[in-house]
Amino acid sequence: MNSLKNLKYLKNNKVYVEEDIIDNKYTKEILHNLKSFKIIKIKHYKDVFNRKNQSHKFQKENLNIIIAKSNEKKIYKGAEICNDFGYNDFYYIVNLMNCTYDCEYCFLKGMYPSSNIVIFVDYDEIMKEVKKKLKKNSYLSLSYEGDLLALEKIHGLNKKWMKFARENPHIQFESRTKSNNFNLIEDEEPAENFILSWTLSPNIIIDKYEKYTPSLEKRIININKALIKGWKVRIFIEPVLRVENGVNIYKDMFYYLKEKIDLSKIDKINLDFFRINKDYFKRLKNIYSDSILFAYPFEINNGILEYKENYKKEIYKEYKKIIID
Amino acid sequence: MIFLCFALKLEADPFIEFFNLKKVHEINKVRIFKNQDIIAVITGSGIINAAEGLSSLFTRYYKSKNDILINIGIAGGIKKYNFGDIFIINKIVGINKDEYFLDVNLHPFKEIELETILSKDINNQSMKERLTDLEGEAYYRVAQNYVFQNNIHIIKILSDYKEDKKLNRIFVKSLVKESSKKIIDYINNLRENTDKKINPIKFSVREENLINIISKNYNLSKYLEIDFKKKAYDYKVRGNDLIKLFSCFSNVEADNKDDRRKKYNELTEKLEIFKE
Repeated sequence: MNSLKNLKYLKNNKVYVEEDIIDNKYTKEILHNLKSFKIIKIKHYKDVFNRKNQSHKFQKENLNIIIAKSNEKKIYKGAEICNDFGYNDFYYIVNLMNCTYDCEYCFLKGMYPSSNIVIFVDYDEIMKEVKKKLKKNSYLSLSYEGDLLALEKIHGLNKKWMKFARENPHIQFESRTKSNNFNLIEDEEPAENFILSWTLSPNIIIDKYEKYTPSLEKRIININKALIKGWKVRIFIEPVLRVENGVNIYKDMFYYLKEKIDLSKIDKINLDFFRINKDYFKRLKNIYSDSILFAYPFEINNGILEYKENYKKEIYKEYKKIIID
Repeated sequence: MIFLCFALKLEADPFIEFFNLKKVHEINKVRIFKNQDIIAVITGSGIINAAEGLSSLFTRYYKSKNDILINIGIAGGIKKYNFGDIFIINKIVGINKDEYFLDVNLHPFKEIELETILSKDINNQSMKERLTDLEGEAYYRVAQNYVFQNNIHIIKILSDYKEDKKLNRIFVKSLVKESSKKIIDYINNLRENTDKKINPIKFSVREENLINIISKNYNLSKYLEIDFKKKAYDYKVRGNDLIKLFSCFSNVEADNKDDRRKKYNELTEKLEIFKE
């Protein structure tokens, strides 16, 4: 969408900073890592984030970051649509909204009016709240609305949360990513209650629908490095998309994973199909009106759009045969 | 479509001349000029004229959020910059100190904030490092209702310093003329790249005709007609041959309401089939 990229114009990234937190130590840390970005002061992040008629396609190609202070509510109960891994107390926090990647199917484009990345820097307050509210055996997702490790170089949040995890062993933490940035945290001592998860897709899906994300091979290299270093690693094969020849494409990937990763060392593997809230779907279809991803017939169950059973059964059968059994 | 908007005729002249725009309307103070893909409006100065003029332009000619709005005009600034410097605006401070932020594309100009003020405050301006004008806020606020944020381009030419009392008309005219060359290059790049944007999949004329025939034969309600079009579109996006499918259904007519529903369901069932 950035139609002028072919011209020799200067790169034009901006970092919007809320005036109240311009002197915050974490704001300074982030700004230090964004030296080439132009700083623009704002009163409240919503003045930029909630504007009318923002183009997700444009903003994904022109990375802008907003540094802000989070709302009063800092911890959220996980949505029913998400896997709670058997934990009754499944929570998430929003350290980050949106991410650097541009996945065509991403629900965030349906949920938020903007693709600008927001980093909430009141980490200390968020951690205080987590400490106060989360009971024993709670599960806290750290990267629910953004890929934390993808931006680690800018905010160093995984390291901060790992330190917090060591001090709070009664809570399970999970940081999920598609990135190949494990090298940025590999010197950290792994913690039993800090899970690093990678979301995997076949390369053909990555190339077509997961713009700017690392290839499957790179993600696998990262997984293997993390396993060697003793980290607790999970794999998420999701969202499984309906594509031409999909069953074979996913089947090939299952065999590939089995060959390249010692799956017995993986803490948990999960497979889930593309499904989405119907309002978010409508907005995604507006953005990608001629995308085949949103042109398949879906079933609606309780406001959630899902693929019809046949396709799911076929893929799941292969998954069970190759990965589970 | 590219919309150019100006407060004054002297700001618009080089662009009207270069793009060979012909006058099509003159209602009150609002003058509209156009060619095939560029439409220009001269609104008159001040926020009321600006909002009124641009609204009137959009009401008549707006097509989609992909339309582009470019405001080009002169502005006052501080002595750090030179007369004739060209700026793209990334933030606007309005007459009530409200703040607006623009999604700025790649560009060859300087970048700065703009403060829109009322003409009564011209002699009472803040000396902050920002430009001042009399219309920017109004143009932005109208445009953001119509086009994507990144399609709003506010371009200002430094014509005077804030402490100057009076503008020299001849000097300003030549300044705009001189600066217009770089701005025209920028517009042409936008124009060229807009044309290159891939068109989304559309129904062909024959497909449209068949859709209309079937809708009529089946006596579809407005609601079902919309639903039918959506399903047909998805069928096409999935790479199927709509004409082949529709040809089998175009002669089928529905006798009554129940029959209509039954036949419509038969057709939509076929539309849900896809290549695997």
